[in-house]
Amino acid sequence: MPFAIMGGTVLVQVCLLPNVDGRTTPRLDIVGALAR
Amino acid sequence: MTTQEMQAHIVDGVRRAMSDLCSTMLGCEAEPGEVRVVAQPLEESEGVVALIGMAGPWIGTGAILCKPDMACKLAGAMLMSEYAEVDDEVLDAVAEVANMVIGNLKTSLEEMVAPWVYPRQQSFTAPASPPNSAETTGGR
Repeated sequence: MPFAIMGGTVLVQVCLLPNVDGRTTPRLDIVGALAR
Repeated sequence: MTTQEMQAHIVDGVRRAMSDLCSTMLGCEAEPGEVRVVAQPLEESEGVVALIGMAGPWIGTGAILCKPDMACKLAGAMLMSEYAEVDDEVLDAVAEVANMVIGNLKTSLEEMVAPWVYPRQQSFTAPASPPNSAETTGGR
């Protein structure tokens, strides 16, 4: 969702899925790869 | 709670969180744009990105993305200083923006579901190329 502020744009993205397997440790390795 | 219901809560929570952040920390107003569902998260990630991982009844990430000049403006407004280019202080400021916005969202979502784990955040520049050259401030 984009927001116009201070003459520019800030984009907020949220990605959430039901935690069906009960995992409580985030997969930060995959998070990093997504930045590519 | 269905995925569609969660999407509606996320949209409402993010709008409220950004509005609160702008009015209390940045001294400006946030004009929300069109909500979109994207197939590739972070596809518009050229620039500065701050990521927060979330885990609990629902699991995933929250991210703040903006161009470098916008990141400098955010940092300048938060830290009452001027930044000509993205440096560690600018990355810290954008990470703090993410912390406040996603943290606020998480709190509002917790009113509907069980408490969440809120483990780490990362912020980094994400140049278009080469892809492996992204600098990171590391997790906190």
